[in-house]
Amino acid sequence: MKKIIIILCVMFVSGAMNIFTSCTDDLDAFPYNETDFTSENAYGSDFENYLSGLAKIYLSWSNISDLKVDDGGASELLRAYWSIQECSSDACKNNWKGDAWTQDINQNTWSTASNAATYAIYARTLHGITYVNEFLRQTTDDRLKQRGCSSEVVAKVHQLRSEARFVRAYMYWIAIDTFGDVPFVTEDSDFGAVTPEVGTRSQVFDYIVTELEDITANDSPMADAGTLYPRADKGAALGLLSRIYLNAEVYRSTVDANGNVTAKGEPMWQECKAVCEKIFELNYGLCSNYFDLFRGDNGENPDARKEMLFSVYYDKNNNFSWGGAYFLVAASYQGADELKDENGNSLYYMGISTPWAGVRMPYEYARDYFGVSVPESGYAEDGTYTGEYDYSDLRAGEFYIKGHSEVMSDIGVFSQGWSYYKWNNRPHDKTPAEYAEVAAGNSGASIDIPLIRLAEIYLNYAEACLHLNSTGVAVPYLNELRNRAGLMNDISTYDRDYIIKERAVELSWESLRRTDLIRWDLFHSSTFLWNWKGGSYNGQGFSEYKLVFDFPDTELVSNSNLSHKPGYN
Amino acid sequence: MKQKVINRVWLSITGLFLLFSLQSYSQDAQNRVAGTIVDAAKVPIIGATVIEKGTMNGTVTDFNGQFELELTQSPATLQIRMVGYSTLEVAAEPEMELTLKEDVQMLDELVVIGYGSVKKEDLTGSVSAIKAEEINRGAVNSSYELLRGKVSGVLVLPGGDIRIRGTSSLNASNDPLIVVDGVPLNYNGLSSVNPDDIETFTVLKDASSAAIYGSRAAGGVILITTKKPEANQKLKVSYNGTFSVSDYDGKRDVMGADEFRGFIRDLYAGSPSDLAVANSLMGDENIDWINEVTQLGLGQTHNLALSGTVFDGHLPYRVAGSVIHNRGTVKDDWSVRPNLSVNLSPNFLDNHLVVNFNARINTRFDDDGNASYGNATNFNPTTPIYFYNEDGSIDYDTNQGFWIRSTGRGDNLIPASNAQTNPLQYKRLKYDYREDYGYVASSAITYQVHGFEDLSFKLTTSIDGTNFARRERIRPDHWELINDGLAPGVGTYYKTHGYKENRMLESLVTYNHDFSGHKVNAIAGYTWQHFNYYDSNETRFNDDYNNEVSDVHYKKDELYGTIYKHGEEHFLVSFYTRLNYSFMSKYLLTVTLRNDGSSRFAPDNRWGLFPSLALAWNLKEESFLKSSELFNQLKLRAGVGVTGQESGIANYSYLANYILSSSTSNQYPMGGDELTFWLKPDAYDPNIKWEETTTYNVGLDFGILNGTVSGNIDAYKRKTNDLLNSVTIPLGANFSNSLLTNIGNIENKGIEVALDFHAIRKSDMSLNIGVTGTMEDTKFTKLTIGDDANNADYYIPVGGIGVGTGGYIQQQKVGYSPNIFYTYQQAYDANGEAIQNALVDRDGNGLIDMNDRYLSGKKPLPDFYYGLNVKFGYKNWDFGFNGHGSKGNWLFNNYRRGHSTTARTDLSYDRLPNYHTSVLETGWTDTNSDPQNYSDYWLEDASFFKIDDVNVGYTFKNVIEKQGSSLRLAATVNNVLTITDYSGVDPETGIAGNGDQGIDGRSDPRIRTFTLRAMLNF
Repeated sequence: MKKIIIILCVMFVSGAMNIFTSCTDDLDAFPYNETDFTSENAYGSDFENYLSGLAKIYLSWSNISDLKVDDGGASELLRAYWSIQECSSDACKNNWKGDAWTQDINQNTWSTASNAATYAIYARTLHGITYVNEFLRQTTDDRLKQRGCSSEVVAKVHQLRSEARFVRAYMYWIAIDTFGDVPFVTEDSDFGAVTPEVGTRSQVFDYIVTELEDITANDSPMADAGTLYPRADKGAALGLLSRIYLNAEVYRSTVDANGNVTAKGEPMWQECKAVCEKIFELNYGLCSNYFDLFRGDNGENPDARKEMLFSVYYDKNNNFSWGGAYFLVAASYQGADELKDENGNSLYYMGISTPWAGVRMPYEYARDYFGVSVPESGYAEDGTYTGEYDYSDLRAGEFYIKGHSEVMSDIGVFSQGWSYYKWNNRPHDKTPAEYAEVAAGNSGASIDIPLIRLAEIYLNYAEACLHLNSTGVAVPYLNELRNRAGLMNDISTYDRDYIIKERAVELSWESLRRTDLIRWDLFHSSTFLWNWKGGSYNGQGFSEYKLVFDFPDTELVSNSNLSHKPGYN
Repeated sequence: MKQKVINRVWLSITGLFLLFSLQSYSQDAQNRVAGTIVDAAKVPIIGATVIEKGTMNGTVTDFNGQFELELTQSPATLQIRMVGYSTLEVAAEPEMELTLKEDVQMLDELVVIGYGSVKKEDLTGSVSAIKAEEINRGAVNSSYELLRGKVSGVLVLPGGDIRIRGTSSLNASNDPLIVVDGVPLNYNGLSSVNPDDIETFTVLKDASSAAIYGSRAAGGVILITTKKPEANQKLKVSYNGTFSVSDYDGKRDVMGADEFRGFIRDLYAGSPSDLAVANSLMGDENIDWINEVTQLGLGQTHNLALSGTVFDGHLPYRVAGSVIHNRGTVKDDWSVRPNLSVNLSPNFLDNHLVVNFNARINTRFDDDGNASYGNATNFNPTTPIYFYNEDGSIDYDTNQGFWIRSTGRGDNLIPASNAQTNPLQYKRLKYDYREDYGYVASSAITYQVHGFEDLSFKLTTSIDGTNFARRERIRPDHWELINDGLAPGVGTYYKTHGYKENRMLESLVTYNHDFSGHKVNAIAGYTWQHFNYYDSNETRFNDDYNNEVSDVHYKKDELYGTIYKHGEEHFLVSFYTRLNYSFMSKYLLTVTLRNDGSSRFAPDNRWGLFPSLALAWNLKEESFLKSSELFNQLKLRAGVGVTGQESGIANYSYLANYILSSSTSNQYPMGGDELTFWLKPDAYDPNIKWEETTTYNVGLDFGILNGTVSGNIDAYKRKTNDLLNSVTIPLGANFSNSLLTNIGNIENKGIEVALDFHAIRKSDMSLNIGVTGTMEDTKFTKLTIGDDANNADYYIPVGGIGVGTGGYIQQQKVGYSPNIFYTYQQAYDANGEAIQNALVDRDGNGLIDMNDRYLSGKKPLPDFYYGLNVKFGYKNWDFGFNGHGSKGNWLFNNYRRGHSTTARTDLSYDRLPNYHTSVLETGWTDTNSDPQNYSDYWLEDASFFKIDDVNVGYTFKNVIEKQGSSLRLAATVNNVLTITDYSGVDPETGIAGNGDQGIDGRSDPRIRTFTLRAMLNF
């Protein structure tokens, strides 16, 4: 009996003691399923995982899955940024009146209220930046060694880090271009439920420059130009640097409490010129046919590829979205304009199945920059076009105007204005008839969107040289662009107006128009007008504070370091 | 001679004396009684009242429990009364030893508290104990329904969620911890316990009593003891069965077919082209879709319990089984729930070693048909139900016969884009089946040390888990699949299955000692818990629906098949101790301390300390009240304690959770032949920590007039710090714009009262009235985003209503109740009718913009909620009802908002859903503007009083040849009556749940049930 009692006592006590000592280690619990990862085990020592991490960063432009917003497609970065850059200018108007914000952008009447486009730009850029910061935190040499990465993997990850930093620099460029001062976070910032600090526009500008200069330095692990398509390489970084330098005056300017520019910033024309020349030494060249650059097979077409310094990859099956390439194609045309074969079947000219009828170019823009004209026979009795128009610049060859009308008295009517088929999903070497069957099943587009291409560098160069009074060196580059456009009469000199016109055509609908107009002091100006500018049909100037957009409402609430932009109250 | 005379006199005197004494003796036998009163343990009872029945004649027992009394009547009956004991009536006899039985309802009742039990009079905290048998139970099939309206401070929500003292947490859990026979339930809710197995409920409401459960007790604790076999008990059998019929207590008011046709023609009368389209979308049928999809609900339950002992009384057992079968009120909806529970409590070594083994299995098979009521309210009443062949028979070859707007027949069926799902077809072409297998098993070994009986050790191991599976199959001819672009003949198969399991190991040392008025009860314990969760789901596309899906039929298109697996675990390690001390049963003290470590948090935030202190003063034991006739109980309590909340917080939430995508749209060419899927971190807060709630409680327990009125009053204040909430966070700080993080502090204050009137206590008639009431006020006291209540920017938006851009209807804001409504102000015309899209320009700037929204002060939480229970017995009849209600709670009637206007884009979408007659009331025809959607017009006072059930029963005693056997027959109506001004189906929708609280989108009316019950015991 006594024995049993002693045994029981020992059992109870020792049982308890045993547990005491081992239990607290259990609290370091991690997911045990092999497909469940935390930062502790997600990367490991396998290089492929680091590539996957970087894939997320490249998807910052197009991916829409991880933000709580209402309309995923409308909130895609490329579509949102494209919309504010083009629709706010003379180059394009969006007829979707149902989205209230599109009218505000069309007519420069936006206010403090959030709009889906600026919210998307704000959210997507900062989101992308945050992923880059995390990637950089997770890939320090110390972390890699802790995870047992080989020195070979460590070296390869260095290259990935530079690419990530390029993406971050690009995101910051979009952010300061849109908003001016923006929240400024790097891999060294606090993380969690914290309130990010704000960096001034010029501060962030300096940061972008430093970062880009660093990753394009000779000893940088960044890949050589043209070797990693569509990933970023030194060519991409130099290209962005050229754009950044070109706009230095704007990004370093100072504004007063009302949002008026009090002083332009120190320009960087010399730096711009130098970096362009550096790019010229690289292995890039113009694509022989202008429109091949914007076709569904552009990423696979070596001729198109050689002009692209950096592009965002899209594919109708993989990395498909409603807001990128598909938007540009679908929104550009309407069903009524579909070309038909002799049997009346659609030829699916644009290489996709369904049109959205959203964006088109005002007639005046086509006329003034593309040099188009409509002969008398081009007008039907009711004043609409029969479809005929004259042009000499090959870049004006993809307008569709049949049944459209010249005057855009109602922004909400798609057929008022010129349909512009620049973005076309049909492969460059396929006729509509050859591709119609495939196109009928395409509910996605495969155009890689070139964000930086050689022609822009030529024009950046020419503009910088103009400011430096050394136009002579740039003339050959401008003639190269002219010749490709079928304009064989070479120029020997050029002026500011030539640059304005040439950029308007060559870089039309490529998300650069608003930035260009701001740089030329034409965006809000009351002397440079277009229809619907400033909210009036005849056009009028608008307040200078609108050179940047206000922060989204929700961010003004959640980030106590933010306040309304000067002028917006 | 003289001697003779003396002798004679002596004799006579003696004789007389003798005679006298004999006479007086015989007189005593009739008029004077004496006795001793003891309790069950043969301990004398001091101060018991002994009264000659029907007179004012009486006395009290002395220190030895003895009494003497001269009677005035013969024969006489004595009544012996003592607080805490049942009143005893006996025929008077000259010498008596009487044993008073402890009254289980009274003070000496043992009340289960965390890790032990105390006598009710020794309680220091705010603890409510109720016996399941004694409450007016109506006809409940779920254990939570037993609690509704019975305990002050406890709100039982329609779905079974329980709130003890309101809401103090937003995103973490507000659910109380449920502990059944010492085992905290994790993966089996209260509803897993068969109500017939429950012996008692104990609700630990304040932190001083709940703090012993530390990090899981912030929502309060409900302790349940199940019925146990008694030692040496003879076989007892009890059967309890019900049969019920249920139906909706109302019907959604939608247009009939003729009304609809007329309405649509009037609506589009002005536009011939629209009218033509509308006409083409209307048929000649007259279908009442709600009738088509609903049916009478039928339910039956059978419970059978056996208990007794075997092995010479050494092995008491209880075995109970039950089956609940329910046919729902929506077609094809049914569930079956078989349950089994076993309890064994063998004892060894002269009762020093007791083993308690409990096991329960609760299973549930469920085919859920609820999806179609909402569909039926919207479906066009003029269209047919079926496709018909020319001969009038149903054309089963086309969409299984179910009509949808389409062209073509058979395999050539092409549904119209945006066609509405036929409400009947939705179920019939889809198979959705769930199985849950819940199990709880525990064994506790208690050893009371021989020779040192004050000390005992207890070792408990338990397991609590659920295996679950859900299968959904969609027939290949289901048009939704055709619309999704799948090849005809390909069905989908979706299966998810997994398990949740918690293992617990606990050791506890208890020390009890009584010495000269001092009573000490001390415990120290350690608990280790491991929570394990696993699930896997797979989606497959199958070309042969009729065959069981197997890997052979994996999928037609590789692209679409996915298998996903997920597992996680969590550990909780706790050390705790408690001291209960009482001096002369007058002054009581409880001190507890618990230290919890949870793997959910970063090492720096991992451990939490949860102390509590409580004092009580038993005034009744003081000399000035001891003999009070008025009070039979009076106790003052005060306590303070800290509890935590780790439930509701995801595992590993302090670490970034990384996801490797498998979605084709989440890949990018990174070199090589294949595209690379992204790997991305989810948002996380590295500094996340538990919510901590500090509760202050003052309470008074009283019993008046020998328990005729008894009750308690408690006042409390709860402060929750580091409140967790999912909030919009500034971009740039994380990987999402939404994150669960600690956002601030909340405070709630309340007063709760529970009263019990024994209005009639006669042997053949009784009336008990129970009333509970709770007044409560909840406010944010701090938000990390900003504390200044006057700063309009400092708020957290919550309460999405599903329309508009980034829309929300509520705020969390310092100084206000949670989810305070934030609306535009509706404008009305001269007749008081709301004008559509006319809102008040509150800031007078000529625009209706965000600045015109205002905080109405209206909130989803009630100011006051209450319960009323009445139980009346007369001879073998019993009658009762239960009701509960609330006051001051508001609801946003999102359902009414969604059906307030005729403006829709039906025609362009080639569909014409039915209208609710509410559009006739508003007369609105335009699309609601964003501000209209967020108008205070939709806010309604949702105060209500509900009669939850009314029941009547009759008990036949000794129905069979066995003493104590009984048969009770009863009838009950559930959901009898709701008194409210609220216009939606149920004012209690979202009253205090998490998430969408205060927003009512419910379409189907509540269900009323009529039940017949038979209970047989022998």
